[in-house]
Amino acid sequence: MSEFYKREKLLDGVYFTAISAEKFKSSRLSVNFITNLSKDTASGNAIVPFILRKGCKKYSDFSRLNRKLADLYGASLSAGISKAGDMQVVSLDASFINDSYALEGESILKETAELMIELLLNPNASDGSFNKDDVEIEKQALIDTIESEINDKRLYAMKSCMEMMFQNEPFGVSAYGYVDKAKEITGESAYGFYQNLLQKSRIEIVLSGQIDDTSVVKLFRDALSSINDRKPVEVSNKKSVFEGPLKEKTEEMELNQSKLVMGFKCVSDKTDETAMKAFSAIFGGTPFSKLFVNVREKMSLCYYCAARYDKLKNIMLVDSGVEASNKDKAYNEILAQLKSVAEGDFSEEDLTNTKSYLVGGYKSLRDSLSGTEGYVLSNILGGFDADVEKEIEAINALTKDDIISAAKSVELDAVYYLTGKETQNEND
Amino acid sequence: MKTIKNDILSMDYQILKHKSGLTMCLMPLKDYSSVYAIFGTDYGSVDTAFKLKGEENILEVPEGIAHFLEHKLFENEECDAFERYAKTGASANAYTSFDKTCYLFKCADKFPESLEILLDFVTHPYFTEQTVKKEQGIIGQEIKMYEDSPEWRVFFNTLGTMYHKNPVKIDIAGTTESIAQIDKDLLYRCYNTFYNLNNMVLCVVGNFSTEDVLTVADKVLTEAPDCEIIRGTADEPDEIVEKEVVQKLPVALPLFNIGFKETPPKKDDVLKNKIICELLEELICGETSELYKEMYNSALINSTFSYESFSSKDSFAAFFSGESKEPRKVKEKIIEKINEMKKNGIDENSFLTAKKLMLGRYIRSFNSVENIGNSMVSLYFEGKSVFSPVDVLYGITIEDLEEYMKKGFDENRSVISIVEK
Repeated sequence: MSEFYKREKLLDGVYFTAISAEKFKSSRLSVNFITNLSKDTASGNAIVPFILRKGCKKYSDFSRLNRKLADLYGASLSAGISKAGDMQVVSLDASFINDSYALEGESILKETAELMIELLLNPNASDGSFNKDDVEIEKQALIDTIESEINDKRLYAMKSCMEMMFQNEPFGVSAYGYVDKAKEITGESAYGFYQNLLQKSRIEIVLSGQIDDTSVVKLFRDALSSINDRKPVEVSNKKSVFEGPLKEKTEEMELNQSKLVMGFKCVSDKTDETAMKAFSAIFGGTPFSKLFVNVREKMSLCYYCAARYDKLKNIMLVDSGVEASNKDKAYNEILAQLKSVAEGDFSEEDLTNTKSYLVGGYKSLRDSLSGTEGYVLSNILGGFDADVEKEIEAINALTKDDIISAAKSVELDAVYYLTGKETQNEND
Repeated sequence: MKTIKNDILSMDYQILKHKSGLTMCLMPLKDYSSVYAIFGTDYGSVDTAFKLKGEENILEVPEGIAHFLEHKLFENEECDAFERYAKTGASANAYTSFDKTCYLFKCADKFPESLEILLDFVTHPYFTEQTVKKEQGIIGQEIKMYEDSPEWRVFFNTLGTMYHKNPVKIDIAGTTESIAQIDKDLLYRCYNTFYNLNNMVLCVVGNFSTEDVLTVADKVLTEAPDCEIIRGTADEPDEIVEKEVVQKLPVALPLFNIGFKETPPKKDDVLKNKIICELLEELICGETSELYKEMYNSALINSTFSYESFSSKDSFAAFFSGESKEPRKVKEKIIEKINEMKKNGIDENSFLTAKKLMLGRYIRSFNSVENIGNSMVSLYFEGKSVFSPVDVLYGITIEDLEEYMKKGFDENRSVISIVEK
C-alpha cells in the first residue's frame, strides 16, 4: 500500500480511507455503497442517494438544507451513481473548502461530516416509507435520466455496444437501471432498498484532502455501528473472456454524424493489465496513436477515433464518429491498424513516447482531488494496489513484445453502428 | 515584473512583459506534479471584421475562420505538433471560443521542451491549399457533431434569437458553406493580424521554474512589431429578434435555455456585472431559493438546472438552462419571481448566504492548474487578474444588486430556446 493513503476497517464491511492531499484548497468526503449489479436492484439502489440528498429530520426542507450547505461556503452535495466492473456504486459525495479558508474559524469538515451522517442515518422517513412526494419526484427524475442517456450520442453508442457484449451478465446492467423497474418504485420499496444498502452493502468512506482531523473517523464509526442487523454481502468482479460469436447491431436515428463502436475482449483472463493499457494507448489512446494518425489524420475518415481500456473487465472499446459513406472503410482500417500492432509494426520510439504519455497521466493524477479519489477507489474495488509509483515502474518496464502479446490477445466481440437516416445524399 | 497577491487564498503570481512583446502570467506551485501552459490570442469567432491601423478597409472574413486557423496551426511542413509533443510526453489541446483562441499543454516532465514546441508551432504558421482542403473535411465532421448535440443547439439558438447582427451568434466552427470559402491567403491575413505577440498572453501554472520559461521564450520568440487592431462593431439594437425558438432533435426530455439580453457594460465593469448577475440568479432561482424548491418539487425542473452570466465583446446576457416538460412555464415563474424581487427588494440574509456560496466556489476553482490557467487567460484579456473575482465579490453590496435589478432582467428582452423531439 502506498503512503499517500491509509485504509482502515471500521466495522464488518465498512472501510474508511483517508487520502492526504494538502495542496488543495478543498476536500472531498464520499460515502459509497457497493453492491453486485443486477437488473432487479439497480434502479432501486440508484434512487436512494437522490432521496437522501433532499433532506433529513434536522433539515427537512430542501431550501433549508441547501442554505445550510451554502453557509458552509458552498459545500456541494451530490448523489453519485456508477459501475466498477460488476459492481454498482451509489454514493453521497460532498466537496467543501478547507477549514483554513473559513473566514470566521468555522469547522467545515466536521460540520459537513455531521451533516452527511444525518442525511444517511436520519432521513425524512416514517413508518417504513420515505416521503412520498420526494420519491415521486426522484422516481420521475431517475426515469428521465435513464431515457436521456440517448442525448449524448457518443456515450449512447458505447453503452449500446457494451450491452451487446454483456447480454446476460452483471456488467451489461445499466448503472441507473431500467425504466420498468424504476416505475415500480414506491415510498416503501425505496425505503427497503435504503435499508438494504445500510445492512447488506459494502460501505467505503473516502476522505481526501485535509485529513488531520481524526475525529471524523470516530464520528463515522460510532454512527455506522448503530445500524441494526448489518450483514454485508460479498461483492466481486470477474474479468471478462472472449467466447464469441461476433455480435453486430445497427440502429437508426436522426443524426448528422454516425457512430461506430467496436468492442474487444481478451481470449484469456491471464492478461497483464499494464500491457493492455499501454497497447490500447499505442493503438488508439494518444494523439500520436495508430488510430489518430491513420484513421483520423491521414485518411480523414473520422472526426474522432479512439480506443479505451477498462481494467476491471479487461475489455477495450474503439469508438469513432464517421460519415456514413465512410463506415466500411473506417471499420476495415481500424482492424488493419490492430493487425499492424499485433505484427509489431510500431517503433521503439512509439513505445517510448506512449509510455511517457501514460506516465505523465499518472503523475498528473495527484494534482486532481477527484482524480485521486477516483483512482484510489476504483483500484480498491478492483482488488488492485492503488500505488502510482508501482504503476509507473510497471509501465516503464514494458517491452515491445509485451505490447504485441496484448494486441494478439484481443478478439472483436461486438460491433454497434448508429447511423442517420438521410446519409448518402448529404452535401455532395 | 509585477507580483499580484491575494491574502484570502494565500497565493500570488507574477506578470511580466517579455522583450518580444508577449505578456506572461506565471504561477509556480511547487506542491503540484504537473504544469499547465496556455498560450492565447485575443481573437475568436466574433472577430469576423477587422483591419490593422493604417489599412484602408475593414476586411470581412468567412465564419469559422478563427477555429479553422486553430486546427491548421498544428501542422507545419514536416510534421504536426502532436508528433512533436509525443516525444516530450505532454498532453496537448486547443480551443477557440467567442473572443479568444488558446493552445495548451499539460505535462509532468520535460516542461522546457514542451514549452518550446508550444511557442514554436503557434508562432510559425504554414498553410497550403492542400492542407486547407483536408482540414475542411475534418472540420466538416466536427460541425456535424455539434449539429447533433442538443446542448450545443439549445445554447446557440438562444444567441440566434437574441441577437440581430452581433457576431456572437455565429457558430464557432462556422458552417460547411462558410469554411469552403477559406483559403490560405485569408488564413495568413487573419494570422498576421491577430497572432501578434502584443495581442497574446502566455500563462503557466504548476511545477515549473520561471527561468525555464524565459530561456525558452528568448530562444524561440522574435520581437513583434507594434500593432493596433481595429475590430468591427456590430450595430446591434437593444431589442431581441424573436421571443421563442424551437428545434426538433431526438431527445428524451425537452432542453431549454432562457436568456435575458442585457446592455453590455463598459469593459472595466464586465467582471463586476457578471458577479452581480450570478448572485442575482442564485437569489432568483438557485438551489438556496424557494423558487428552485417549488419548481423541483413540482417536477418542473430537475438537477440539470443551472444558471450563468455570459459576456463577450459587446454582448452580455443572463441564462437559466436545464430540462423540463414545460419550459415555458419555467420561464413564466422565473419572470414572476424577478418582478417580485424588483418590487420588494432583496433579503439581506439571502444575499450574505449567496456571497458565501460564491466565495466557496471561487476558492475551490483554485485547486486545478488547468482552471487557474484558463481563468488567467480570460481575465487577462478582460484587463483583470486571476484573483479579481474574489476581490470584486468581497466588495459587492446589496445596493449593487438592487441597482442592477432596475434595468436588468427585462422581460421584454427575454427569450426562450427549446430543443424537443
